[in-house]
Formats: sequence, structure tokens, C-alpha cells
Amino acid sequence: MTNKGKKILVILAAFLVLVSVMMLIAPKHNYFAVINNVVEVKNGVAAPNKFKMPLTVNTAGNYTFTADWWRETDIPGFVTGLIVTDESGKVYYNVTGGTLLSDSIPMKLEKGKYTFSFETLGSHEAFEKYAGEHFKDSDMGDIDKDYFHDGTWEMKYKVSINQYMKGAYAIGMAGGTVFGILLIALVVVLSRKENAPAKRYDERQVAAQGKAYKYGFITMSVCLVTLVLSLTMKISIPAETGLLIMLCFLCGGAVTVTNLIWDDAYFRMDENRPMWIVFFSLLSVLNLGIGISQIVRHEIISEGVLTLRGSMNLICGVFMTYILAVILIKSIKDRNED
Amino acid sequence: MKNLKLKAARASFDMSQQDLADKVGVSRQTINAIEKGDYNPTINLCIAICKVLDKTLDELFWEA
Repeated sequence: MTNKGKKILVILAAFLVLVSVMMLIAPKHNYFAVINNVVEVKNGVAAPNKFKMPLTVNTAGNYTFTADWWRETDIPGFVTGLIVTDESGKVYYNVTGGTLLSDSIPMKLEKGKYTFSFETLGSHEAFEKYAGEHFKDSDMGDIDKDYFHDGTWEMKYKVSINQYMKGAYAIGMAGGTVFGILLIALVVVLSRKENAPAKRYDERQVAAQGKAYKYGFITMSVCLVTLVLSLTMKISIPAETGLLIMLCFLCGGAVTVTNLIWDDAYFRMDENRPMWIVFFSLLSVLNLGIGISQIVRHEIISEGVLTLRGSMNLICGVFMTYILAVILIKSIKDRNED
Repeated sequence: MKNLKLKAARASFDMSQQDLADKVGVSRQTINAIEKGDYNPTINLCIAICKVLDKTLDELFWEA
């Protein structure tokens, strides 16, 4: 291993130790509950009208409340109001929405029982009455009268109280990014052959890359235009929009990578292919493993819709496996030609 | 069109595609593509190949 490789390995190990220590000292007090309700609205009256969910906080500290009854399709024709109170009746969090995913600001909570009180509002009048009782005029949003209509909806209400750590999300994102960069840097350094030429790609490879990127860009553009048209024409696709956008990018990426591999312009001249094949295999197995576990735990679909968060690992695993398959097919083709 | 003259010149030096590729600073696949006629090299690469194989541009790349 080169000196550069050893340095990166040491930095990576130190980083992993630092992350492990941070995970040990990080707060872990999170409380959550889920309730499934079939809500029927008939003549502007929703049933069940009210229901409650208790959650107990075992350790005092700074927390945020999360309310989630988000859905992209089959939007309910009623609005749900949520109020979180402690045992003395003090209101901590107050929110309404037909479909909602919302976090409160961080607040100090004492040890004790907190009640999540839901109210379903089947008409504009009921909504106005509720808003008038629970919101100041300045905080009160309005909902169009046409929003409310009769029907039956299977609702899934998820609530949680999460211990708050200032900047935790940013630290997590930055940490993940740094880890990814270090890992790729290590693989790049390890995959360089000894006595490699100074040039990374020769002139034919650079020309082939231009062609591959062009085809990838065209494919991605066509996919995105198709997606935008589908959304504009309100064609129902049982997947989150974020996931569909990601699939468009991956389609473009798949076309680019296929062209690059097929024209021998993917790997640099000085590159050790087996090293990359091992790296891709590990990534494939890791992502497919997580993806399959998400399928088993029914996390991939929510409210009949394929979710981005639930299916990202599976899709990345399939993409990596596809790259591996193209590399192997190309290797077999080259061997037969030689 | 296949470049058999390049292939013959390389063989006369008992060089593999990889040997020639290493000497001119390109990948083996690029030499293979030139010999198969799948890729037209730039004048710089042609000159580099000619120097390694001790041939002129006409001898290796001119199609009469």
C-alpha cells in the first residue's frame, strides 16, 4: 500500500472511532406511537370525531414533537387537528392539516405523560370553529371550502417525541458525506496500479466518455419530461415524486455507465479492476440486504405508495448489481474476442 | 477498415497490444480499436505509434 493509502486508512479508522464515540454519547430518548383509524365523513361530519394517544417521557430534556399523517395520494376530504398537552393540561404543540408531516420547535419537557389529542373536522365550519378555539388569528391558516367532501379513508397517524440535539442532522449529514469521500478516496488510491502512467484516460476514452454522457443526459431528460407530463396530466403513479425523480437520474446514469463500460472508458488506464469489482459487490450486497430487510418489515410501501426512504437502498442495490453485471458481460465478451 | 499494417508492424517487433499501449501511453483497448478500425486516432497518437514501431505515418496509416 502506498503512503497516501496508509494515510487515508488511518484517517478513516480515526473517523470511525470518532463516530462510534459520538454515537455512544448521543441522546437516545425517542418515544413514538402509531394509530390506524378508518375515518368516515358523512354529510360533513367525521367519525370518529376524537381520539387520543398517550406517550410517556422517562427522562427530562429538550425534545421535538413530530406529527405524521402524510399521504401523496387519496387525500382525505377532512382535516385533522392535533393538540399535545401534559398532565396539567398545558398545551405544547398544536397543528392541523388534511395531510401533514410536521416537526415542532425544540422545547424543554419534564418527565411525565403527554397526551396527543386528535380531532377530525369534516366540514369548513367545523374547521373554523376548531381553529377559532385553538389558534390565535395570526397563526390560523385557511383551508378552501372545496377541500371538504364525504368519503371514507384509512388513516395512519404517527406521532413521536424525539430528544433534540442541536445540529444533530447537520452533523450526521456531514459525517456521512466525509465517510463516503474517505471510503472512495481509499478505494481510488488502492485501485491504482504501481508504475501507472501519468495520464488517467487516453484520447479514445475521453471521446467515448463524451458520447456516453450525451446519451445519459438525453435519457435522463426524456425520463424527466415524461415524469413532468405524467404529473401534469395527473396520471396516478403509486410512488413518491422524489423516488420517481431519483429513478430518472438513475436511468440516465445506467445508460452512461453501460456506454462507458462497453467502450472501455469506465476504468482509468491505471486502474485495478478487481478492486472496484470487490467494492461494487460489497455495496450491492449491503444495499440489497438493507433493501430486502425493508421489504420484510413492510417499510417500502406506505399508504399504497412506494416511498423514497423505504426503497432507496433496494434501488441502489439493483443499480450496483446492474453495473457489476455489465462489467462481467463485457469481460466475458473481451475474453472471447481475445 | 482494419489496420493490418499496424498489426503486422507490431508483430514484427514481437510486441503485444499491451506492450505497444504502455509505450505510447494509451489503453490496450485503444490499440485494439485502432487495429480493428473501430477508432481513428489523432495525429499525435499516430506519430507516437510510428516512433515506437520505427515506421512513417504513410507506412502505417496511409490508405492507397
